[in-house]
Amino acid sequence: MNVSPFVKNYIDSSFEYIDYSGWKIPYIVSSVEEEYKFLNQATAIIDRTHLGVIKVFGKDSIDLLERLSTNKLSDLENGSGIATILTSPNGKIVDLLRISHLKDSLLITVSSGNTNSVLEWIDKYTFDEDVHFIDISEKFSVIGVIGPNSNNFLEEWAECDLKLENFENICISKYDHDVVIARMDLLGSISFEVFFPNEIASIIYDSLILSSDPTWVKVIGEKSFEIARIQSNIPKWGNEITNDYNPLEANLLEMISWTKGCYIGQEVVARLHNYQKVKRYLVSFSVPTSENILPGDKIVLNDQNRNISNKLHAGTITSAVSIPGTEKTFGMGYIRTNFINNSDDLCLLSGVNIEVDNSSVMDL
Amino acid sequence: MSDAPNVNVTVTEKAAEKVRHFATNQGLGDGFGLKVGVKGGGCSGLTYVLSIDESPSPEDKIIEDKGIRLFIPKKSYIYLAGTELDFSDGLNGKGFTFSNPNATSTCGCGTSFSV
Repeated sequence: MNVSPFVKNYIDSSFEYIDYSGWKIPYIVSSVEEEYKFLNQATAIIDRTHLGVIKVFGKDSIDLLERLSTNKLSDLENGSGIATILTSPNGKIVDLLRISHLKDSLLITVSSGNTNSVLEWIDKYTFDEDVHFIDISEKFSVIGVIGPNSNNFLEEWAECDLKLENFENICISKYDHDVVIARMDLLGSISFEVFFPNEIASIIYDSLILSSDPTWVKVIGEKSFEIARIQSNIPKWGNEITNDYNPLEANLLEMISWTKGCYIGQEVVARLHNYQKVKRYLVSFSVPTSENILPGDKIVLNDQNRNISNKLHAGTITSAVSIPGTEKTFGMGYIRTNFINNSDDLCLLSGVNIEVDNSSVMDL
Repeated sequence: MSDAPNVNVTVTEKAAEKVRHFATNQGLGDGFGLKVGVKGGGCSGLTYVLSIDESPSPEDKIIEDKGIRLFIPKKSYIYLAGTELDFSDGLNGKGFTFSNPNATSTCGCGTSFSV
């Protein structure tokens, strides 16, 4: 497994790791409780080098991506950015792209382990356009800087003003290299992604972490990030975002333009939306149990008159993470539309009721 | 004897007449041709591109039908082999229309297709 140049600076044999698309990612660095606190109350830094990073050059870059994805890209200019979804002709998700418009190119992040699929997909629909895609994932490191104090923290580190709206970016010169700071509200609250060449990963780590007040900034692992992601109902590639779902089901409405005209899959997406034909919706929930819940587990209607094998299938779990020291698990899953209004009566096959977070439920 | 599939791109008389009309309006001489290609986009994945060009690009395949030269970019040709280009006019006409045997589905307005 790969270890990112940033993680190499704090790797410790006592850590618990997960394999994230071929990357060895720390799951817990200190403790989940402490890391979660930094995420929500100060500044947390997490390695995200497992993401795919693509640079795009050429005068037709925006025009091509506009024709292949759901959002309106034609207004992009240097320093701006947007999230958009590549969709197939039948409206299913190919991947979610986060685009930063740099001075002479576009910087695109795609889901971990999905770079080749995205590049092949785009190449299939590229004919005479002046556009060049370069996979720079192996050469660049990416970190997330998350939390209510992340803006102040990064301003001090970057020695510049960071009044950025979501997806906007700024390119600064740091240690004789270009470093891109992009506002990416990864968990629904203010956060940033910082892109830099691998060769300065150690200096970046030293200046970000070792030179900072440890009461205000902490490196975190994937588990606390995952808890916050699930609580915020943010879908993830491989779990909630796959070729089986469309953007409406995955609650990605903000990434769809309804006025820009045709793109691949537009007719299907528009029809599902206009005729309210979406069959299932992504919701987040909690379960008062520490039992091992796995993606793929069923959610059923808790009907006392039916035994387990006959209970109505209401949905499927896509992500779950237990909270250590508690009898609580947070999860996400797709619930069939006709069961959304019965969300108080849903349970696991074991009979334990799930508590759907109503703020994650779409208004139908 | 089996019927070999038509791998040429063809135009109907009506489409050829319309192309000549547009070329004349643009003041183009005898060397012009109709560039027929595809590009990514449209609801179904691929959408047709038409333009009247003075000369072909080096990579274009050149086909002549009904007195019209067709310039077809190499990568587009694999999606267009066997296609017939027609023209439908009048108040409800759709303009140039494509009958493409490679298309497995088309979008509602008929301007894009998937293979």
